[in-house]
Amino acid sequence: MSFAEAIYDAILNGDMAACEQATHAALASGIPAGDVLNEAMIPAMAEVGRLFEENEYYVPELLIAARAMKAGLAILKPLLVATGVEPKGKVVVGTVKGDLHDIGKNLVAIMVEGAGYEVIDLGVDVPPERFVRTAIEEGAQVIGLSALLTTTMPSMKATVEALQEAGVHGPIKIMIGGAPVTQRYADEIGADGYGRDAAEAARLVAQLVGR
Amino acid sequence: MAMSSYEVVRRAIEFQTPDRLPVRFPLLGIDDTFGVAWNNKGVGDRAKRQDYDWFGCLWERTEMSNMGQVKGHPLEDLSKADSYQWPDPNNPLFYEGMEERFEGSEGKYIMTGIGFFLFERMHMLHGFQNTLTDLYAERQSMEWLADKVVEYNLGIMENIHARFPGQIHGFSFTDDWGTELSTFIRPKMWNEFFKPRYKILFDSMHAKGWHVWMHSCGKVNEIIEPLIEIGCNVINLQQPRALGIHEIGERYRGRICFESLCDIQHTLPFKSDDEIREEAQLLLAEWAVPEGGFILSDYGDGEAIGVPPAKKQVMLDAFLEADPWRRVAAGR
Repeated sequence: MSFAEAIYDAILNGDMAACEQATHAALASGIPAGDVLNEAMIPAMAEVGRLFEENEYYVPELLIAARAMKAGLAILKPLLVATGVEPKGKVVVGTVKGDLHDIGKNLVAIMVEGAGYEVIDLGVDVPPERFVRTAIEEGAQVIGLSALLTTTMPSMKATVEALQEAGVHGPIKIMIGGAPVTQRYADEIGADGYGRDAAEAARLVAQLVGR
Repeated sequence: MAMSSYEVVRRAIEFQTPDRLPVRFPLLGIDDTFGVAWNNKGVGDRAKRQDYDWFGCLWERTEMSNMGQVKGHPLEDLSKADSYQWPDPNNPLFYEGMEERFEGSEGKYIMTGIGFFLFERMHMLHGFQNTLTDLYAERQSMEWLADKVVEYNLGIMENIHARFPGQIHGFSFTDDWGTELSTFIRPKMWNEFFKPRYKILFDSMHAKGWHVWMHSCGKVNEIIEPLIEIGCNVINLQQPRALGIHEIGERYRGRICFESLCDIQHTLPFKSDDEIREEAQLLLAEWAVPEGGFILSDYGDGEAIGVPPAKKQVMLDAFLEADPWRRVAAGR
């Protein structure tokens, strides 16, 4: 079994110890950290996302897979930094103002991180200005907004408007998601994309960032 | 002579042909049921931005008092389980003043219940992601946690029954099991882990003469079958569009009583009056059977879904207009 297969399987099986072991083994055999990430971990999480969308995996399987990947990634991180391997991009995520629900937002953060992006999670009840300010300060390419309540959806529109007012809607894209949210609503408020679940959100980030 | 509220609800649940549609709509002055609460401090003090419930779960709220979520989990670290103080279901304070709350219940279908029953209480105590992860990683610990919650719930039910035998007709509880797309966990795991524990609880309710009323949000299509198998009598579903009105009707009508209303996410907040009327008719056509199986129930927190009372009135009128049992009774 190749290093990539061993790590891939460990992540799909949610086996944290096996992922750590296989990551150490891969590095010990001279494989660059960037290759371990790009050839094994990210494809594994993409497959987890596909299985989640197909209802082959449910939330627990997604969580334990992400946990296994994170354990391996923790080993890689210092090496990635030392060798100048950058994340594919930066994404700011949060649940909008007035809304405290974070389950969906957390799953999106997990899948986006698993796809190789740096995620800045602002938590819940986040006002529009904070999304915009953080994205500008951090040099993020995408803001991901989550809402569970119909009554907090207008805060998504307010965030799109705040981004436009700051003159950075374009370089910084906005994607939205959450139980009552639809593609139609995204179009209505001028958001750049809508993800129906965490896996789709991760693919959408890739589209918006262009890598 | 018209049936009493109690009789209408009972017959709808037991598929014995009520003479009209049972309704739970206190906001607009119609309610065939009567709630008798025990002193459950389920969500802490709503007036506070932060407060603890009786399990020690920390609730946080936005400026809107109805928007809250548990953010502090007393059993996040299960190595501290031994020192955790479970609330005592035999605490008489839980039931103080309950007797007076039966006043005005004559002729009604009387209910009590527990919010955040089993799964919800587990993840409030241990954290949502922790609980789901540990169903794999720490199975034994999750079994312990689930059994402790079951034990507590059984204790509450025993105490209520001992104080008011034969006076309560239905026991309701909430456990949100679904996302918009599926159950949180695979149905196989639900069947293995949760179904036997719900069965213990449902058997206890039935032994006391209570109907079992369960609420779940989300697309829970795959667990309705096992719920029916273990005796769930009424399932409260508030997102018919996410569930699929036709699919649910085809699979389950006539086998469990639906407590429902027009979709609270997509229909009530956004659709026209005519579309609301159409959905009311569709729900009765797809989910009820001639013998019963449907109870109209309001979603109590209109503010949370952005639906004013006028819209709800349109829905209520539409259901009453389409009431299949009243039409039959009128024609007798």
